[in-house]
Amino acid sequence: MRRFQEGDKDAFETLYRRYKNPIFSFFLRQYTGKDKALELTQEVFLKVVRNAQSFRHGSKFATWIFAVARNQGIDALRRAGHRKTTSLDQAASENTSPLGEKIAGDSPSPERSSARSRLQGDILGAISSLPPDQREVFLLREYHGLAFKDIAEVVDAKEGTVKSRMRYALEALRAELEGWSD
Amino acid sequence: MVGLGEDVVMSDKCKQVQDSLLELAYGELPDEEADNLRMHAAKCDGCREALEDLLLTRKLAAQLPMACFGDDLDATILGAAAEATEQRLETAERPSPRVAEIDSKPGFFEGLRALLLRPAFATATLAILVCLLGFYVVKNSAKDEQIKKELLPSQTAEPVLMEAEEEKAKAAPARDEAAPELAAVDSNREDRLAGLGDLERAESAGGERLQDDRKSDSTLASRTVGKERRRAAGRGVADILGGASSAPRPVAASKKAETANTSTPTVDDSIDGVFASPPPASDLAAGVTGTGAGGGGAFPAGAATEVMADQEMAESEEPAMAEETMASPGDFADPPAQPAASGYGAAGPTSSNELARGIDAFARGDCVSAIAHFKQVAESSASPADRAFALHHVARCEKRRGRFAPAASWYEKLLARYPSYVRRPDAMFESANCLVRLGQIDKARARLEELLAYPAWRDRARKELDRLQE
Repeated sequence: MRRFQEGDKDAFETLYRRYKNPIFSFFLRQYTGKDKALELTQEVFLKVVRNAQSFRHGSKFATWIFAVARNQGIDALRRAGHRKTTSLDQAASENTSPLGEKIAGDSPSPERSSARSRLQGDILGAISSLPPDQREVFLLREYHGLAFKDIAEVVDAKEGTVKSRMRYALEALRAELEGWSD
Repeated sequence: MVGLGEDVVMSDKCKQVQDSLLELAYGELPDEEADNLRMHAAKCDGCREALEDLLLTRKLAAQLPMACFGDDLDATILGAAAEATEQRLETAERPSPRVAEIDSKPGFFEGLRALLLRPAFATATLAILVCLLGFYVVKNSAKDEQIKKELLPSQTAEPVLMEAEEEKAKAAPARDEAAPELAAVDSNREDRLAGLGDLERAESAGGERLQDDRKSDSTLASRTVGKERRRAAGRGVADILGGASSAPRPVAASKKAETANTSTPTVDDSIDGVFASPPPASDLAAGVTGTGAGGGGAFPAGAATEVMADQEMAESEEPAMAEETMASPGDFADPPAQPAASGYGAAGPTSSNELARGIDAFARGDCVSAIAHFKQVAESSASPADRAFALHHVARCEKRRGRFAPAASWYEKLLARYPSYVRRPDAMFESANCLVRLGQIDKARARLEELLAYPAWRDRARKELDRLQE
């Protein structure tokens, strides 16, 4: 990031390639559908370019970019004026089948990939059912590797609060995914 | 997941370590604490089950892969980023003279004024002042009362007073004897106080002079840059881009006088004159590069001069931005330590002083002095941005003096050593001008073709290339 601030365009490409999937995943799972997630991801990186000089190296770049992403997502939600709802027919990611298939068939598919798909669908469904504040903490910790103190900075809450939300999120997920623990 | 209130027995202490279990599950505990907690979990059913639940949930969650953004938008985003970066670099803050540094930072008094203007602070300050004043008045009045009481004669105190007076009378001769010595001490003390006052006054006068110097520098610099801008708006090409005579002009020169000063050259500085054919040797020798022929110069007089003047104005007003440009390898040797204070202000001839002086000299047309100052900056400044700026202006000064070969050489150095210099396109355009003047058309053409990569300069470069073609 320092090199990018000094005018090295290649440095930006490195950052972009490193964070584009995590940021996209975050938007997809936290806020909205695929098209909007693509648009928001694009906006985040353009914002990084425009506001690069405002990054002061006091915190990690990952913390900063996820804070930008979070704010972008919140603004988008505010503009859209609706909460994220998961449509049963909506494919939450390219690698999972629509959640509707979970209800459509009761008997498990003999194929392992089908079971995996169903598990992934269940996980997505469980994550979607979490309250937004627990969901964002869970996603940032579990899938993006941010430490609890960094998550506290991103969501602008105390570390203790972040850990509480994480505990509740894990409890809820554990309950939702009870059937997969055997 | 074992939580509070569930069936598994968990002690109060265990409830307190729930956060630690979470940290352990995510590897955020220090090794020693982690070992201790694992040992505890091995013995405590509640904690062990809680930890197992955490780890199992993590294992399940890990089955979800990261969503893939795809490559479709890569070109768009990276292209937009590249363009935005270029624009940011081109319009980024310039290295500025000290005046801009001083002006951009709020001084102590400005900050104090801003603070005092806040209502709450002002009220609190006023209240404190009133209290202090009241306390002082009360204290003094109490003291006065006490003194009055002591001085007023009272009947019961009369004998005591009488005795006191007698004692005073006895002590008087002794005191009188000591009077000359006391007087000497007193006068010495007065002399010392006077001397101290003189010293303080001298120091404060020196400080004021320093501030005055700084203010006058800043005023002069901003005034001269402002004048330069006005001149640029009113004149043709050459006065800004290299048409001025090498003799220094007074700052207050009238427009008529400026025209008179630049009316001697014989070269035709029209569009054809500048780019199509170099000027006659006699003019090069004279160091004069000609007047601007209205709006027909190779450098479109209005646009170029306004751009250059605007940029110079921007330079003077915006605060310095350290480390704006990257110094290329093989740059000057490590700048020497700043010289000790000697003369100019209390800080001595630092790089920023030299830069300010260089800009002052450049603005008033004293190219010889400007070159000396800028060279000093180019050799000794710790800031790559300032060094690049200084090199650029050495080149411009040489160009103004009609010394196109040295100017071209300085431009080459600048472009080679500072590839990220914010005014690189300007330097490239000016360098192309010099190369044409020297008859090096192919090099000039190559330079202009490089300039095509800069969106803001594309049209101008293309136009000049077409003219060279003709």
